[in-house]
Amino acid sequence: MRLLTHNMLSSNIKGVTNGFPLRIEVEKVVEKQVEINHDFLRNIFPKIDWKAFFDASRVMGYAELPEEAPEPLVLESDLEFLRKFHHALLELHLEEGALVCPETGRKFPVNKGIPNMLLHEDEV
Amino acid sequence: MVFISLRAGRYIHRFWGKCTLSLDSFCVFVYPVTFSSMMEIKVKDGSSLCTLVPDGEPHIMQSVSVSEDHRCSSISVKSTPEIEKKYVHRVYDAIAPHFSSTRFAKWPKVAAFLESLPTGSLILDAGCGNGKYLGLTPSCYFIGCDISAPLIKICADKGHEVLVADAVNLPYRTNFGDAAISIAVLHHLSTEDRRKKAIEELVRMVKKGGLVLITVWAVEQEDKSLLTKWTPLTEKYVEEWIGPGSPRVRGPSPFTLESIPETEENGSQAHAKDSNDSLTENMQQSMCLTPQNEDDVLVSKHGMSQQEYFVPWHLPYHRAEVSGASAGALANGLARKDDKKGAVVYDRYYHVFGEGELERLVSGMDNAVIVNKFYDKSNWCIILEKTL
Repeated sequence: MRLLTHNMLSSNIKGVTNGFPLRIEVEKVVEKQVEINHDFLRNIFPKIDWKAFFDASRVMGYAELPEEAPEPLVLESDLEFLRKFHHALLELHLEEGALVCPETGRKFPVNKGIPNMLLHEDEV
Repeated sequence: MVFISLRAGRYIHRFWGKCTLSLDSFCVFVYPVTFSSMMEIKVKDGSSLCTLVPDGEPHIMQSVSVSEDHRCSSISVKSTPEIEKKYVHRVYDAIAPHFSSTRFAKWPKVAAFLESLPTGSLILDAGCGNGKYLGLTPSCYFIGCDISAPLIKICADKGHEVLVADAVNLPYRTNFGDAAISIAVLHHLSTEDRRKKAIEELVRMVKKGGLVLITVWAVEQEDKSLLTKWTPLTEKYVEEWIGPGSPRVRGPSPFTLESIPETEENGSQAHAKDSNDSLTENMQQSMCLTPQNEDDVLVSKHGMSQQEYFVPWHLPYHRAEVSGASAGALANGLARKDDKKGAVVYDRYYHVFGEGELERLVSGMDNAVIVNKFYDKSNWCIILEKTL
């Protein structure tokens, strides 16, 4: 699971008012390189909840992101920032671990990079 | 024309809203008939006997008793009904690798939709199956989800970003995606409420202005011989079912019915216990009206097109042994052997869609409009745009 995906996942358990962001529990992180696409990064940037993204990157062991979200203009020219953004967003994978509902503490397992977000009968 | 809707026995209708009622008797709807003689219609196993006088005036006789056994359903629309657990989820889990090996051809209409999206789009595929469409446009970012963990594993092995989730309750934030697709998914949902909910979820996920493409199997199959291989469902399989609320897909066009000689099976086909195999042989999608003798019973299954089916999947023996799930499925009757074809046969539940049904499901939504709709290769398709 990449942090881009994590940034759009939310706990959908019955009764939860705000299930975002899910807290990450790390057992294993893997880095997989992928070609950078600046246009894609510029399109995605406005969608990202930066605080959740920043916190998640820290948990995943990456400390290069700025805590404050940069101005969008930065993405036009700052290649160094784009590289870091790209790395944290798309190249860090939570291979084994869990995603934890912020309100109920319920753990959604992540195995072989795949989160299982299915709910039990009583959570629906 | 005479429609007799045989609804004997205990079963649950799920009407709009939360209440469910069980009907213990028969509805008989009578339209102007062209018979020249009086006809007595015997309703098997029924408690009422109706006679018709063909005087050109429509008679609507209803014999409906609502038993005391009615309850307001507190079952959430997000709860998976048994029929889907047994005849969708478990089947796909068991057949995943074989199923995936047959799913490689990219449907041109879906490809065209994906290619029309701006580069850099975030695209969500809900019910992605073996991930056939994930990554189709390399400049976009795809996230796929499916309820079948074995199918998702196949996607992950190809390097796709995927998760295991339920299309009726997507774990995504609202307004995040640029577009979403639901290809051959909604026809596996067994109630109208669940189908509506899945569409609402697709629209919820995308941003304002985002597009959603939905495709589903059509009642109107181009290859009509396929229908003879499908098993129309009888009431005993369905715990929640839309009955009278279902759309009348053929509209006002004349419905012709063939007299079926009254036999034990046909006359009581709503009650037949092991009727699957014989039904497959006897069933025809359209029938012709030829008034015969008075003893004939004119029957259409619900007074409208059959939309609920089991569609077989033949899993070759050598594949079945590998998966291991088939031994259990055979033991508890969820699958059967076909030695002639050397395969374990699984039934998959389908609610095939009639013309206009997708539009009708969407008509109540206040945050989406239809921007395109079409029929292609035995599928009904619709493209929605989120408006607010």
